[in-house]
Amino acid sequence: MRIQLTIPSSSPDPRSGVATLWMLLVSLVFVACMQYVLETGWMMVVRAQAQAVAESAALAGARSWGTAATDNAANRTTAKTRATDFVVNSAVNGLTTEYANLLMSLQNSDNAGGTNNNPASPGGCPGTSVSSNLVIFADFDPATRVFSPYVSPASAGRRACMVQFQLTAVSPITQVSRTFQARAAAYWDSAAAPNRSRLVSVTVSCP
Amino acid sequence: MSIELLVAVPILMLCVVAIVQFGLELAGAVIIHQSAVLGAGRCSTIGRVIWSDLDDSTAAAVQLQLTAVNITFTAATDVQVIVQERVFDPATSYTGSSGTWPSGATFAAAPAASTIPADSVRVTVNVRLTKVIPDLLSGFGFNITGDYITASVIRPYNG
Repeated sequence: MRIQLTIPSSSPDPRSGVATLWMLLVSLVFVACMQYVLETGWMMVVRAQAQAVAESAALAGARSWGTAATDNAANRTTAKTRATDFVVNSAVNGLTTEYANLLMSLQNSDNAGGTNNNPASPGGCPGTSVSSNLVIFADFDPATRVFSPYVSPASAGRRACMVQFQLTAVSPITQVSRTFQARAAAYWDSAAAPNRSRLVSVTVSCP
Repeated sequence: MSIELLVAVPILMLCVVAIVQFGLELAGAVIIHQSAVLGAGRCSTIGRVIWSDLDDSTAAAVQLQLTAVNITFTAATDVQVIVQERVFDPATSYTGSSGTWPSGATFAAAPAASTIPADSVRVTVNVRLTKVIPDLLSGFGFNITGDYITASVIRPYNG
């Protein structure tokens, strides 16, 4: 006996809707991929901008301190303010708010009673970790590249400035708060003609 | 099934192309920023001089970086380098000079000079998006013609 099964033409195709379901699932993966790409790209841009800001601030601080006629607390404060200005006037995502938020902590790193106007205890040896916002002055040896924040006085050709900060900015893509760290050091090269501040990589030395 | 695929595939293709295009755009933004860093670095070492002495070497530094990554341009409508300097304290009053290279490039207005610290120079580089990335989404109705990437860097005078 032969049995023939027939599907009525009015019944739905069992594969109907598969592509839609598949597309919905894959769309979620694509959206996640897109967020990842955009977020990563945005972070690369902000990180590059933050590094440029740190470099400009360090160059400005080193120049201001290096060209000071007298190495005293008032002139060092002026130089630290000069470096701070470069940071707090910068912008991320077209807004200056995030950088402006660093003003208080950067100002607090100016201790007129400390060696080279540095904080007495800035949470460990300054410059060894980017855990705080600091403008640090130091004696810098161009030969060995040793950056010594607590050696004073520094002669005009050995005055160096390090700027480091942690910037917190909200991603315009995911609305997640991200932290960026930047650090740069520069010293005043009085042997160059004309004199100028130079970006350097340093080894930090603390007592 | 076939009709569903006809609907789904273009949407998925759009997603893939968008990911590639935005990724390239952000990579381009880093390159443009780097060219602005070089331009500002070059400009800052020249010192306080008038604009007419600034443009060539600054523009050359920017061009060097851009051409190194195969971003080439021939017309003033493709790239714009804006140099602004503040040569006077206090910072509340802007006294300085500014200029644009090439002289015919006017597709973006110069940013406000009020945030430039004294004794500093700001270099802004604007590059048309079409010179940085392929216009992959034009087939889907998204056209980047007229858009541009901008990057600004401020450096203290250093020379």
